[in-house]
Amino acid sequence: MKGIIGIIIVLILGVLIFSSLRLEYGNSVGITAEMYIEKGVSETGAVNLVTSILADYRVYDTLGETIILFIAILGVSMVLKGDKK
Amino acid sequence: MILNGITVGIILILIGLYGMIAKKHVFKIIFGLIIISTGLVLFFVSVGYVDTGAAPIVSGDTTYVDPLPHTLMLTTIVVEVCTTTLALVLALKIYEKYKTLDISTLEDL
Amino acid sequence: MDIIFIVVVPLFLSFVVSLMHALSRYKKLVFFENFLSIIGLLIPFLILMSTFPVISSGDTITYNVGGWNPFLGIALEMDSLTFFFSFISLALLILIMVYSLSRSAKYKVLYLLMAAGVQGVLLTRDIFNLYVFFEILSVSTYILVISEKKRSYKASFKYLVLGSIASVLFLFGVGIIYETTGVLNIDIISSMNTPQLKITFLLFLTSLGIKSGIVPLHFWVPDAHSIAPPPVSALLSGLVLKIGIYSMFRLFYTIFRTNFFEMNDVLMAVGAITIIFGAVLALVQKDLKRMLAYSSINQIGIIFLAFSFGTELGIIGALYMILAHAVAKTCLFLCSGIIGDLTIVSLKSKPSVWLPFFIGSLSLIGLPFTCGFIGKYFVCLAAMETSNTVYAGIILFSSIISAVYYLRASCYLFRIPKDYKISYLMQIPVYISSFACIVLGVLPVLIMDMIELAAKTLGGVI
Repeated sequence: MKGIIGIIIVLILGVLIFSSLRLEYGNSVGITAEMYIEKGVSETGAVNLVTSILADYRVYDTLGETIILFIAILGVSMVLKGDKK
Repeated sequence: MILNGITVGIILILIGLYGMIAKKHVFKIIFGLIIISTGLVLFFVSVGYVDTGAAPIVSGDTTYVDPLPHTLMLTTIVVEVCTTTLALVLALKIYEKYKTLDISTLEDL
Repeated sequence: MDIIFIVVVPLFLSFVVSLMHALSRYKKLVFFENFLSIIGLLIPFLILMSTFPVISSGDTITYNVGGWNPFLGIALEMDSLTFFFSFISLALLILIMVYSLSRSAKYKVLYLLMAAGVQGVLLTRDIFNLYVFFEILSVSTYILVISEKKRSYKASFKYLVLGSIASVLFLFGVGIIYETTGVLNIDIISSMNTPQLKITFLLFLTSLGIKSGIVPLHFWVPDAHSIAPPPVSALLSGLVLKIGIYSMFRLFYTIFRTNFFEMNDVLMAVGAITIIFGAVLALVQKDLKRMLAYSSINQIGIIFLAFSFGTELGIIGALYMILAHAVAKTCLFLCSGIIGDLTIVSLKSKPSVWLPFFIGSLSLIGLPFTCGFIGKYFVCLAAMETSNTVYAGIILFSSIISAVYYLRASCYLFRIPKDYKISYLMQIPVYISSFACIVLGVLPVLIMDMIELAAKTLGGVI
């Protein structure tokens, strides 16, 4: 029963996605990426653009990522050791 | 070429989604989650791909691939690792309590 | 103070609290832990109130993290809609924190992190950042749901699986938006004025529908609500479901404007089904918290219906319902916590929480002089205005059903003898929230300006 529901949902989703999405693969980059490539090195001083985005432009995301890691560690200790006072 | 990174990524997402909806074993549901996150990473990185583009480390005048999806995926990977860890720990506790990992029998308990 | 401190202060203090807990092996520092947990929510509230003069004059406050322009970096913005939600959420978080001060340090740390996640979702204007803070919010909620009850791990696992499906679909939608537009900032994407693909809209709708418990996707709601510790149930129902609705407001009236108004009728029908489903299933429940959970689905249906009318009156109704439901449901869940917690202590004598429970029930039924009445009144007006009289009838019908089950529960509670003393810390939040139900029902003027301003910001005119 669950299998049939799963197949139906996935088929509908797949047909919808592949029929409506126009797949532009390997074309030129978007507006934001052009700005990063143009200004990245001069503004942040990092040659590696991934580093400059991760640690400077979008550092707020990285902060969130580390918080999630902290929450997961806290959760694992809470589930395994019990919630002692 | 139809079978590029974007399509394969979407197919992986769909396979994982099927696994999460249809499978009855707790571990298989978690595997579905892992497959989905792999598909997402492939999808995002392919979105930023440019033909003849070099890795986004600036050195001279060449075309580069989009660096933003790579960064986003670094964040996503960590998030998915955290979710998977929590799911596995919960699966461990469920097994300790009920001695089974089958969802259909767990529903009745 | 910059608005980013609303997110950063609870975050920082949560780490301080966990550090103090590590130190308290040598010396008991519980008082400081409690003090810091309250301060960590009170300071953001004060910062929020300090922005009130600017917001009420119709302006917005923007803050770019790191000083980068919104194309490259992440932009935060405080407008009247954010202010409204932020105000409700911080007030509720403070009330429920006071209620649950006797819990462990790990609980408080997770609670503060969750508060930071909520504020992050409310403030950010970047879709990917929205995803990250949504994950902070939901991952900490998966853990908070776990309680001493027998089925808690199963309920938490179910919530985790559905929640991660939701966030994966959300991220997939973000990917498609990035592929078609090349930008991640919500304001910039909506200023491009290009209609998005229908499939992207459906992905976001499904994802946020799971997060907020719209009917075909509501499976986790009853389990998680009935299993979680009472304060967490109150948070789930009063806050976490509403954050899903907030994201719908934020995304569907900006990026997906054309798609949203195309699919208006379908969404209204979904809302109506949610209303009836929640009301009928709440009627047949025997467990009090399960009944409250299904009643939450019912109320979320009304909010979703009002939101999908798309008119300004509809938005006003939806926002007022959000306020009314958050206040009243918090009151009821905290009451159920007081009743349920004490079953171990004494089987016969229970504290008197009949009055706040009764007031909260009246508000959820929607009787006059309570805040639920004003919300339902605006929603019905919006239904009449868009000539969807059927939906007004459905709301009235569901009110009658909820009158049946809430009055039944109140009568049951009335018969409980009342000679048990409980700590004032647990009683005060209950009485404050039930008092707020009446104040907001008698004097809706207090909050009406802000709601009208928020409705104007969204510009909900077809």
